Amino acid sequence: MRLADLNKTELAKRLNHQGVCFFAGGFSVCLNSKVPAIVDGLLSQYGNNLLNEADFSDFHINIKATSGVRRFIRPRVQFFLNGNAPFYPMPYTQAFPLLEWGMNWCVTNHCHEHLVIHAAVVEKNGKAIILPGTPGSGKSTLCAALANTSGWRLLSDELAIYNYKSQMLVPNPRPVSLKNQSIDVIKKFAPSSIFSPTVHDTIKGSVAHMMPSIESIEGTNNDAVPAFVVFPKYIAESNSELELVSKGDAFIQLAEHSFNYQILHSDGFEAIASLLDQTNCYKYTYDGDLAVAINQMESLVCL
Amino acid sequence: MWQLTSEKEFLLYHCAPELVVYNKSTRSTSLLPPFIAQIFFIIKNNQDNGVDVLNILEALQGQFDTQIALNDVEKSVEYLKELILIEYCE
Repeated sequence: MRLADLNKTELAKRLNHQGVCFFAGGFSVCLNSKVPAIVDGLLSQYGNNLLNEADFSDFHINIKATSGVRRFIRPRVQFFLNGNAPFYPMPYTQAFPLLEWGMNWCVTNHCHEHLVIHAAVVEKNGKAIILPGTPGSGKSTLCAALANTSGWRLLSDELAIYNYKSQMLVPNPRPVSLKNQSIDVIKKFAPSSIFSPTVHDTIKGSVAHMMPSIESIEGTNNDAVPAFVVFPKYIAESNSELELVSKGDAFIQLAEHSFNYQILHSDGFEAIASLLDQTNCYKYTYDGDLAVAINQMESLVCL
Repeated sequence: MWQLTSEKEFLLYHCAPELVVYNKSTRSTSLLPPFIAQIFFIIKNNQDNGVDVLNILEALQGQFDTQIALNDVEKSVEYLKELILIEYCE
């Protein structure tokens, strides 16, 4: 049964009472909330996700409106994991982005059996491209464009999860987080995709989410072979080009982009080493021309 | 004579001509550029005998098509010492 099989009233009722348990990427989440934006966000972005009928969930999350007099002046919402609130409350209108960011935090703080890297991951022809990037690098825009191109599968727009024991990438397909100008760019590029309402004035600027394709969600249990690490860098009016990066440089960059490299200690080092043994590494400068960017990524995986 | 401190304390990823070193004690990761990586391997390959800076300079002369200044070797050896990769033994 998929989340979209519940109508809005039933979904809201379940969120309000026993909670809605569903698979979000490679993890199971049990979610409670009375906030209407959460109901809308789930229906908009997680409709294709399977409900979890088992008793166990990886993360028990609650998004609650804050109490007290301030709620009448400046309403806020708070993220709870297992009853604990790890973050400060955020504006009420930012409930759905808070859920998404909170779920990312759950993975990065609890998934230490794998190496977790701040990177998008897409795959085609059995070859996965890891796209690590700092905010503003164009990582999510490029990832969203590829995820909307025939033959490409989204593994994640935010967290590359590398199982260093099997040496495979674990899919975690969740909504793609788009920010500021990239929202309109991707809406124009993929008008048939489903977007959440844009939330303005967040700490990251304006934010909207794009639903992953059903093929990507259905591929959640199919791990992918890492083939390339591409460090994207959006530079307006530049020439779009791929340049080889030395493995030593790539090693240091991947360690810097990893959330748990230091926690994994020696295993983290061995994990990056084994990842690099399987991949070729590039720096990719691009000017935002998505058609050109897709061709260049295609040229890698079609080699 | 310069020698490696203890190979058990390190993990190495040799991506020629560079070398990535992980120090298990300090949990630090360092990227050694080709010149310093070469010095590291010269010391590693002479672990039984130990080498001094002049031995290293001599070994390097045969590997690079350029003049090498003693000062550059000394600085690189000092860097490896700071990373606690090597130590000086009498």
